[in-house]
Amino acid sequence: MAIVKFPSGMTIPHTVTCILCDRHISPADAVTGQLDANQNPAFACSGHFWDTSILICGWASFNHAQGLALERRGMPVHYFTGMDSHHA
Amino acid sequence: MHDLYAEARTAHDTSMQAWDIARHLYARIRQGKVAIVASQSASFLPCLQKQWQRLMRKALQERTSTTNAIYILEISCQVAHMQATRFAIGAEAYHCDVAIATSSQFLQAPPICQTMYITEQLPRQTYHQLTAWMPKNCLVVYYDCHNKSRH
Repeated sequence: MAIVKFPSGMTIPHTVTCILCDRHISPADAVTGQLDANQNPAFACSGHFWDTSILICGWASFNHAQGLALERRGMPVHYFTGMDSHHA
Repeated sequence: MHDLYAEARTAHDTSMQAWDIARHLYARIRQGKVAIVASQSASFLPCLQKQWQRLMRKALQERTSTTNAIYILEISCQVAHMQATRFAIGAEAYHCDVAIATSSQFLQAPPICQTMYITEQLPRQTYHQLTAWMPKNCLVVYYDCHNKSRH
């Protein structure tokens, strides 16, 4: 269970931050989630898959924080969700 | 797969893959279209939908058990997304959010999606062909080849 590749031009960092528990973890223990307000992917510990309560509340907090970050910039709150289904 | 994120995951059988994809999908569904490459797409769809419904019920339980207004608001939005998610079999199910098909079907109609899950072992060339139309910085998740049910 690991992030094995980043897009070309980007090196795999030694650690990424889990947005659900704020710990620095190895990409080998991380999963890629949705994009943040800066259009960068957020990462989470793959172990959180086993605790649905943390999974659900953690992503809820993350979504709220990203919504606020966009609101401060005067951008639509739904912008951080990336391309919606109509663009694909 | 030049400009994509790639993730390797382990799941021993179809039901475990469906469990894992449902949880992974929970965080990715808002990004856009999803394609799932499965050798037996017809049997994979009900497994995935079952896990999706279970996760949705968990989210609803979580919403009712919390008094945090932020959680209630955000979980409600997420549940609305989950309820609106449409699953379909076939590579040409463009109107659906999650398309499940075999690799040969997807090769005929390459998916333009933000997330792709590959649940079967494929030749390297097929990986590249399947992901060729994906936009930059999207995600490919593949499940390792040590799948007991297929050996």
